[in-house]
Amino acid sequence: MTRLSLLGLALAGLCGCAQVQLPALPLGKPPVDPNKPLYDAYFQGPAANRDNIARFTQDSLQLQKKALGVAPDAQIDDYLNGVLARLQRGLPGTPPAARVYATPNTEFSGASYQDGGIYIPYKVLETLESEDELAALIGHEYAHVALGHYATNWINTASTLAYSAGNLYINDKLKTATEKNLVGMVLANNAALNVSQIGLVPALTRDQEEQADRLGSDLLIRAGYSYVGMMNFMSRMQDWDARNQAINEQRRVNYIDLFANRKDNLLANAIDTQIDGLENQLAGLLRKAARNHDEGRDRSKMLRDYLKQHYAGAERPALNQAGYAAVLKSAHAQAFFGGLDQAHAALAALQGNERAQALAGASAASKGPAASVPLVRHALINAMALNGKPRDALQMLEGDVAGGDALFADNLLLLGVLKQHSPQQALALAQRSYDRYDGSPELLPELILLNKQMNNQLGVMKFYGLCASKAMVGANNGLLQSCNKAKG
Amino acid sequence: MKPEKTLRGLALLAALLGAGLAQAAGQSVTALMDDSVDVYDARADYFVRSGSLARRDIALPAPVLEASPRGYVRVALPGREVWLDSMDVTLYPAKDSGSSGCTATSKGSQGYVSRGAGEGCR
Repeated sequence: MTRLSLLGLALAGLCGCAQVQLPALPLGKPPVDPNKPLYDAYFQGPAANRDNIARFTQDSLQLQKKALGVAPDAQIDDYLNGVLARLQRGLPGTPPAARVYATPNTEFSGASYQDGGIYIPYKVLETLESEDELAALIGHEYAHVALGHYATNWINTASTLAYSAGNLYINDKLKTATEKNLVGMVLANNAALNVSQIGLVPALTRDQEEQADRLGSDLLIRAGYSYVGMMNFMSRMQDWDARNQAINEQRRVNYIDLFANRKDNLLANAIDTQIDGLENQLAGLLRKAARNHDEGRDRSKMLRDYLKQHYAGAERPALNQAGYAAVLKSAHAQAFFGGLDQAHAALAALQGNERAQALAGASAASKGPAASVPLVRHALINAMALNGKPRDALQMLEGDVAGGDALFADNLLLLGVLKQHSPQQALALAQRSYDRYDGSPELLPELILLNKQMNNQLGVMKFYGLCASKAMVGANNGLLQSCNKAKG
Repeated sequence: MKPEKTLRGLALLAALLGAGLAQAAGQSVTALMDDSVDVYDARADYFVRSGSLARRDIALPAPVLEASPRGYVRVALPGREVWLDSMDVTLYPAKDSGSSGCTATSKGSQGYVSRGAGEGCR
């Protein structure tokens, strides 16, 4: 062992890290005995009765903000993470840290990330009927975390392309800034925000999904939930994949339609490069997601066989419908979910240029329990901006972006506004957003341009160098073109 | 007809209509997972296996009269009612999969809208 490793171990012992006892997860794939539950292949020893709820999961949380973000609510969050904690307590040692979030996404799905972030759309929470079903979904997602399933998620690629094309469009229109162009700016940002959600589809293999179904069931039963919850959940899923495909297809079409029938050839050519790349990426993502998810019916059958084989004699408690209803069917939850519905409807109204209706919907959502959800605030900012209240919109936008809770699209909106009047402030914001969003490539052309405006050649070269390397790594010609154009 | 009798009659009619609607909106057993299926007796808060039935002895579809939170369903067979394990049967329709709510649609893209997307935004 090298001296460095020994020093590392000594430091770990001193700082107390060595006291954290993680479940013994063998490196590589362990031999799975088909006569035993999957749990036995990965975990040894009795349940430690410990939970480990992360305070936040920074990396995946920032990824969510590049799309629709999350929908925080103290009551709902406590309940979701209480279920996760109960599942974790069935593991030996200290379970991997994780945290569950509700999201304002309208898809029927769940997603988890390497850092333990588990994201559940509010439409799912609105639909399920028992805590056992919820535990089945969280157990499935947590199984991905515990098993170390990880796939390169595509959001950076998808959103880079989406926002880049939107920015080209916005920048061009802003040369002759009028109210009409503000509409284009808002629409481009909203479409990019939605299409980025497609990039959040975790591209896990079918084998990994099956493992998560099995281990998720093991965790569910060890936590004292009914496996009937898992079967009910699967029953609902029979319909979900087709719906999600339809929602994402619509998001893709909305985005592509924004740039249809362009007259300006120069702009059209620049955007086309981005759009072609994006279309290919999105089509690939949607195909991949469809391929890796069995029909709910097939998964039900596989799970039924698994449960019959390993848990035929297991106790089957009654589904906890009352506990679920007390939190997620409560008047508070209904008002919260209703506020998210209103925000979506307001954004749809903006897309249809029904501005007064958009403002009414967004204002109503902002008076209810969903008022602090970034998507709701985003809808209100956009609706105010297009209803003759640009000052109020700007004030709210500046506050939200400074606070760090705003969606990425709002960072870009503020950047677009500041660029016109205050390049110095715009540069500071672009730099802050770049740092906050893990070096988002779509900000590089802005950083190059703004540094150029501020006569900072060092900055221009630094960000051009970064852009060239990111474009090469991602084979992203559109990004390179944008950076070349910005550098001049 | 006396007023109280009229009210009682209306209440009965409403109850019958309600029961009919509940059944129409409910599930049916449409298939069995194996060639035979276990049947159960309901106790105070648990179920015990009381025998089994061959596939040919069950007329399908069999409407579900009651669903227990423990995952058993009571169905009507000719001449009697039995409890079956929901794990052993296929229920139709599947559990309610909810509404995806409002998904904005861009102008001219209605042709792409399929179920689940583009539901009313108003």
